[in-house]
Amino acid sequence: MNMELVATGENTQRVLLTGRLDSRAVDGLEARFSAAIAATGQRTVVDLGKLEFIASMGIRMLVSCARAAAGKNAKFALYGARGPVQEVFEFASLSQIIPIADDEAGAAALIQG
Amino acid sequence: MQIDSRAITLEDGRTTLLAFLRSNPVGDRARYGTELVFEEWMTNLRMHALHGDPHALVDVDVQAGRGEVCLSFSHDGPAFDPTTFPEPKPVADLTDTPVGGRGLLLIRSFARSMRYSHDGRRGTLIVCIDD
Repeated sequence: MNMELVATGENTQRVLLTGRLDSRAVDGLEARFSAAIAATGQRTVVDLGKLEFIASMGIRMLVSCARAAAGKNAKFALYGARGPVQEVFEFASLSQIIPIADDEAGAAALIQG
Repeated sequence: MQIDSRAITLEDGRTTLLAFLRSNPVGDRARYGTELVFEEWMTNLRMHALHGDPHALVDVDVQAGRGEVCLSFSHDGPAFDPTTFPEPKPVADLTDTPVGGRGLLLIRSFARSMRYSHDGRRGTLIVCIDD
């Protein structure tokens, strides 16, 4: 699992998650992911186009981070999920919890304001 | 394969599973579902049925063919039947939803069928996924 962080503006950033988000990966990633998104108070779009696999622990990490972000007035949205990863999001009704878009522009629009 | 519930052994189990899926080609969705069911059920067994015993053994068998992949998990101990667990409540919003607890939901969502049996000593879950 790899995470890349790119500043895209004064108060905006893009996070790219690559690889597998299973229980083992979450153990090593969750603290960094939450620190990058929730703790900074920035607006973040998360690119999932190269995410190959996500299990329930990965969903748990995203929901936990969304809660922490809401407490810090930070905003984040997901985009780019494809195939079975997108199907997992639908089964988990994740779009009712976290803003999800098809592409980066759509995700950026969701976290404006 | 027979594996215990330590994380390192789970990773070995996943590696073995992936090797099996490479030698028995299945579609992308079936492959994903097989990995997902393995991860979610082993995680649930470890936490809820094996009570954290790192050396408790689980027999895992995988069969692919005839348009499906079927996984069988057998373990000693009390019954732990996922087919009797209630469906989770519909998600309302961020403040209302639990952070975790979606593993069984995902297994059910990918499975075409799930059967659980317990003979008083040993429990077996069989999950089949369409290919």
